[in-house]
Amino acid sequence: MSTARALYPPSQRHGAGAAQPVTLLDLVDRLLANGVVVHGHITLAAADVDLVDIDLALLIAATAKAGGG
Amino acid sequence: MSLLLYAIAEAEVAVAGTGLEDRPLHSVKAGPLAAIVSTHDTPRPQPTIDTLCQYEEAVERLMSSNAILPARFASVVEDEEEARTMLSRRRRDLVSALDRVRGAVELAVSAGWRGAPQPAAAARRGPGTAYLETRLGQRARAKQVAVALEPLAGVARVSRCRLNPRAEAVLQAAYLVDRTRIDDFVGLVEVLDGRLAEVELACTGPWPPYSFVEGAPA
Repeated sequence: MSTARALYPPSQRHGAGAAQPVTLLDLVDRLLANGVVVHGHITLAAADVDLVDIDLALLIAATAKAGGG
Repeated sequence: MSLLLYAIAEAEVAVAGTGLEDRPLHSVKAGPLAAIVSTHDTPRPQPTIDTLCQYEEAVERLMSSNAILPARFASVVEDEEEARTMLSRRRRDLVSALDRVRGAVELAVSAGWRGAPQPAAAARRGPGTAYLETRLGQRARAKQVAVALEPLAGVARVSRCRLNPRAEAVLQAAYLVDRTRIDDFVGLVEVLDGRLAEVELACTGPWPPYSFVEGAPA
């Protein structure tokens, strides 16, 4: 089993190994798809996104939800 | 000028440090609650890894000494009045959500296939049928894993679980766990990981309670 605590510093996140992509997806899952929402005021600039190993379908779905909210 | 929202806390929250664009954090109060924000000219936070992590750092710093409800990334209010209106309008839900998470953290557990991804079932009756059989088989196996992980719910206040959330991911779960029980929880995850032959567990955290800001779990 792999256990990770905080994700910092950034250099540690892009390493090899099964745990890293899972942790990145957890970050996206939490920050973009959960948390308190202020309705109608999500501003996300998806055009310049520079992501590594992110499930793009997930990000696009979160962005679409935010845009329509 | 707009305000980027990081978290909701109780009005007495002590706020220090900076958030995105190195802007200082401050609180906007209404009654028993406070919204923790930073002021920007025109905040358009982009979901890059570094920005997400900078945001997460700020939220975790707040969590280290306060009960907080983390805001979704890129939550913006126009001004302090709008923030106060939001706090007043949603006071009851926010207060009970803070009570729910006080003294606890979010721990995430995900399950993936151990070793190589499971091969698809051989197609005996055409590719469409094989696909459905594979998906049903995956769901059945994911349910078995969920049952195997039920002891974790006994160490948590609340838990949420998603089966087959994406390709190659068997299960994804979030647990709201008392700070005093983090070691018990992680130890139990290790025990359960040892029992599961097909899947491998990964446990991350502690996270701010993003998955537990609302009432009934999904």
